[in-house]
Amino acid sequence: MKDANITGGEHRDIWVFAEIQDHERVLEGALELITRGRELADALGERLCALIFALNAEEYLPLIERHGPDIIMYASDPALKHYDDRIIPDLFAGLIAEHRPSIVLFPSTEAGSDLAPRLAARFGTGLTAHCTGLSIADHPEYGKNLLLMERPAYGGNAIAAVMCPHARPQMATVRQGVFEKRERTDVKTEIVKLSFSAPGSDGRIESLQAPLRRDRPAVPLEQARVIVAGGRGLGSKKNFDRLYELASLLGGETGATRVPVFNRWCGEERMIGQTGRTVRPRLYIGFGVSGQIQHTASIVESEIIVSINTDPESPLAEMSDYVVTDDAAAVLEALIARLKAEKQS
Amino acid sequence: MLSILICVKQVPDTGRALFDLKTGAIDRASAENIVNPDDLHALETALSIRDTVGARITALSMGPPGAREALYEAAAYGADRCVLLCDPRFAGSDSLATSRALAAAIIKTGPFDLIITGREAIDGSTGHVGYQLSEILKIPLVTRIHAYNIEGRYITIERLYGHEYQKIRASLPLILSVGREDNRVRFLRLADIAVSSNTAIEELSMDDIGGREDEYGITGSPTVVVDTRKFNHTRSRESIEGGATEKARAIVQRLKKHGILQY
Repeated sequence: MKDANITGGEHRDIWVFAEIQDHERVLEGALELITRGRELADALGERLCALIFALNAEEYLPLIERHGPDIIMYASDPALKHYDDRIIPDLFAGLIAEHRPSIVLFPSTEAGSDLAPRLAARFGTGLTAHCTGLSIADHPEYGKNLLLMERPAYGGNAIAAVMCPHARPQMATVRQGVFEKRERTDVKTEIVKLSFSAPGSDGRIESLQAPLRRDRPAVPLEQARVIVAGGRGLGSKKNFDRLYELASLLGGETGATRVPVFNRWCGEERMIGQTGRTVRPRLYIGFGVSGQIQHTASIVESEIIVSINTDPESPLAEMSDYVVTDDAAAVLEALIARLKAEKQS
Repeated sequence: MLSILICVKQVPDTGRALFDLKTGAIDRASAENIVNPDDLHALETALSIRDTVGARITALSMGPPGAREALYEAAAYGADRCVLLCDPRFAGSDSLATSRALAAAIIKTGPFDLIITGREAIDGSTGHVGYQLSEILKIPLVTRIHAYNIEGRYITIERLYGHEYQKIRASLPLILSVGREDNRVRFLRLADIAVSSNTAIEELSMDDIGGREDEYGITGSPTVVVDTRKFNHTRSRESIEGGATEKARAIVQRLKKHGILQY
């Protein structure tokens, strides 16, 4: 193991922002990114470093360590309980300036989508948003061992491959659910505690009350095995609410397109197709979902897709394994009845 | 009276455009240009602030000469002043180069109490510009606004953050990022549309906003698109027939076949 501190010289090593979700658990997307980062680091012969900034950060070290980083750098402080854009970008930028990583990866979450563009602006470097693929590649003009970042383009109708040839670090935010997490036992991890003292407020923004938790799916949609999603075609909140029973019968979660969220049939946290939320369930069933591209691009990796709506030519039907052309609410009721009957027999 | 700047981007309507099947590239001729949807929500926020506390609204757009259309639309909604940042040397800007140019133009045309951007543009979908304006201009950014109230030089905001609500008080100047969940855009009146194309549009070039040529456009963009390919998501599309009950039975049977349903 080489010294964790590199000052000056060329940029090397891969860093991952290991985000802590809801100040209580390691974000799944962070573990996925550490897993992929490990493979990229091995391909480059460089080191993988995970960074944790949290309240009681020590709690999360063992789980992150099991996913195989060479180094974990962490800071633990009550001021780090929530992602704070007055603290984390400064802290992170200081570390980049000191250690000069070659690649820095972030989950496409609210926090990652705040932190990454701020750091890119500070270092005058490139950032590719909401990537769905990362690899190391050579380019005839730009040179060897560059990060090749793939992302949906043109509203999800194409995949663009992007490189950041000259500026460093090369940076990407990555959609959750794109890579699979995997534990690695063959890496010895060096753990570095960072000294941190919370800066004073500049007074421009102050909190008036402690944040309040709101309704959310029991399992984050990214991790759900089954997703039943509702769209405009369900017609009413009353019909939409029936999805919860089907989800429960199938051991899954309820998702939504933009229309139910907009009409307040359900909370925004159920919206699929929102920036950064790719779902990859074994089964996706869309009820009354026609399939706007933002939605379909986020469910395309589902193992089985079933569409239930009145339009057999809808974009969702195009990409479905099973197409049911019928009134979504009627089939929803029939499915609930059928599954209840089977469970009782 | 507050001074508010909103950023407006003209984008191809990606939901309706045709695509080259081989490369996945957009067929520009087939695509109708529209004002980026989130930007209309940003404009709506500006208009409702003007309705309550009074404000002068400046709409800023960076783009080719055709982006005037987006500014005319902003004027029809009620923008008081329109500025087009237009120079062939801006072509090919990635999100960072775009943020630099917009920030320089904001400094040139400001100062502003509030800068309001849409959360992201439907063509690039990076969502970077609001954050990067915050960095370059050194003005705090607030996103995901659920409710707000302006009192003098302060704004109280309830915002969503992940799974939590936060209530904050911020002093102006401030940058707000607004998305389609945050408000409903008002309807345009025909009379407003008719007069909007008479709106004077101020034009700014790279020379007007200052800075070096290598900060903007392709040379100022750290990222390079090296390849684009068509994204194909066709599946087998087995059609399930019958009445609702038979369809439900058939779906359940398929789910068992795939091992998704197990008792």
